[in-house]
Amino acid sequence: MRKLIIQRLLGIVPVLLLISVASFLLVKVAPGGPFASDRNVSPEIARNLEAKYHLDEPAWKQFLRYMGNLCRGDLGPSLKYRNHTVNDVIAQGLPVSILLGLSSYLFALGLGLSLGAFTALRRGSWQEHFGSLFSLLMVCIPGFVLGPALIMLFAVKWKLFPVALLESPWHLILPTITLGLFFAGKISRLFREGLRETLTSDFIRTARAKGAGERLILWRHCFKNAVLPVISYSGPLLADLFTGSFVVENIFQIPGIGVFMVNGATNRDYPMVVGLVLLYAVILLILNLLVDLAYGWLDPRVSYD
Amino acid sequence: MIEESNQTDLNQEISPGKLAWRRFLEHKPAVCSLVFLILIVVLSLAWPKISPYSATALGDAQFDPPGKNHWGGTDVHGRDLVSRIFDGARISLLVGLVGTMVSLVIGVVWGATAGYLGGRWDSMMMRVVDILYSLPSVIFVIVLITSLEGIFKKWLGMLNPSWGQNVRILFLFCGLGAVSWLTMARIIRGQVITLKTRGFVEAAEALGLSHGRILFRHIVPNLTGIIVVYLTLTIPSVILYESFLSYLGLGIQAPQASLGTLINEGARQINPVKIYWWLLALPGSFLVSTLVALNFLGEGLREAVDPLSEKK
Repeated sequence: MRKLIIQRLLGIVPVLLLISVASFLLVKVAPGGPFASDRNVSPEIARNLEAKYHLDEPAWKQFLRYMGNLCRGDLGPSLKYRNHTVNDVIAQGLPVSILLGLSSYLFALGLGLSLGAFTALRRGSWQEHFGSLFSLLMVCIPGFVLGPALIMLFAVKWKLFPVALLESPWHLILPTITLGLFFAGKISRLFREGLRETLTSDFIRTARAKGAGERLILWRHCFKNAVLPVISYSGPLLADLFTGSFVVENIFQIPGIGVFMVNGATNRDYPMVVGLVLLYAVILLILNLLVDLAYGWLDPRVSYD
Repeated sequence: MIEESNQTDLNQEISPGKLAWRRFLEHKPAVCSLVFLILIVVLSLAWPKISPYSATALGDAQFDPPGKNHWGGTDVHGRDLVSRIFDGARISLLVGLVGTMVSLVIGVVWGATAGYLGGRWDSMMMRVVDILYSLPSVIFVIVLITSLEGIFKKWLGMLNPSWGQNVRILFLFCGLGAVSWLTMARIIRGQVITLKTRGFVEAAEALGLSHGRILFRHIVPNLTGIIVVYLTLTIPSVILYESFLSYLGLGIQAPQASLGTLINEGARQINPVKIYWWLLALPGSFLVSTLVALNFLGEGLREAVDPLSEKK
């Protein structure tokens, strides 16, 4: 087991290298620089700025310099938010994004699993159709519709929740629903499929024949098998959630890192983009490793030898 | 006699296309969705001719709630919201369709080539797909669209500045197609790998056909069913993506409208003094119902084309 973990962690390094090259190239190849959108910059100032951030050097030199700093854990300065380094932005925004991401994940998990179980157990009834329609609806309502709609109803009209910002747990509720509802729909569909497949398998029939109650069958025999697809979906899902959502952060004015990712790409702020993409990749790869470990724990038939 | 007539009956029924169509008709939500989508397309095409209000005509009545004159109310400039929504739907559907087609072409060519060549080429091409998967697609699409814009501004801006709007839509097609092809490529590759070993491919090879011909004339047509299914499931995600990009301000720009920009405009009118619910609720529910219908249609098609996928 320990060997597996070490092996996988070492395997992450070349992947990260590839990803950093790819994202660096992507931003560098695109025309326009980080200072193109600044107004009234005289050519001298622009040249000085470029010299300060080494933008006047050839791209390979910039890349090597960047990678050298990266090895020391320095992701470089932001070219757009000039008083901040990328490390600052991550240190300030990541905890917020993780907090919101975790609460959304828990919300999605709770709602998704219960809705999935509800529809899978009421096969063929009107409740199943209703539940399936509901889960499809959740997948089809984008955050930029749901967020403003929730604000309009619950914050502006009925004044039950605060409109924006993140100051108390109370502030977290609307953003959590906005971010989590889509994933709740996804999880409920995955769990329903998993349950359906497991409920028709032979060992469940045996359990039934031995007289096990439906509740026992569901939680003791089915759950672990049926939840596997949800577990493997959780890796990329959590990586997405932890690195923030532009839409939700923008609507609710939450200081996470999702906004920086999008703004960095529009501004050609390459240290920002590469830094955040690398952060995303590291989180994704670690989560995928955790998912694989959880898989082995839930399903002993899976072995990694 | 009787047996013979049975035989002909069987022969008539055996056409797989007809069978699939019958299975499709049994899927009631999918049929309703199809009717609904056709209605939307027809209405959005015909609305400018029927409606007394043009989508871009400014009116005196600002923020008129839905009523007799304006069924869907009016927006900040007094424009009729229903006309605006159909206008936006036309563009959203167009972008969804063409973007999906672009992704289809890239995905099929890439996936089929990788699966057909196999070996080193296959693993190399699929590694590219893996890397693109692990980059957040938002960044990719933003960089692509802004850089295309930079290039086009240089070349086309000199030719004809009034092309701006249409060129913008062209970028969207390319950008959305370029990020949506990955899943399609994976599916197609898997299918091609299993088809490659079948007898008819061997026969085609024995006849001395070129690889390109075998691949695109003999193997790819066998994938029509699965391509159609994933096509209908890709369209809603492309429409959603377009709305998201328009929401960011990278997509369709005023005075043109898409469902995404309409929703964004509605969201910006939220204020504590007065609630203009229709500006958000109408385009929002229009978008959601279109997406639901497309998903139902996709599910119905999947069950019709591949009845085994429905686990009994």
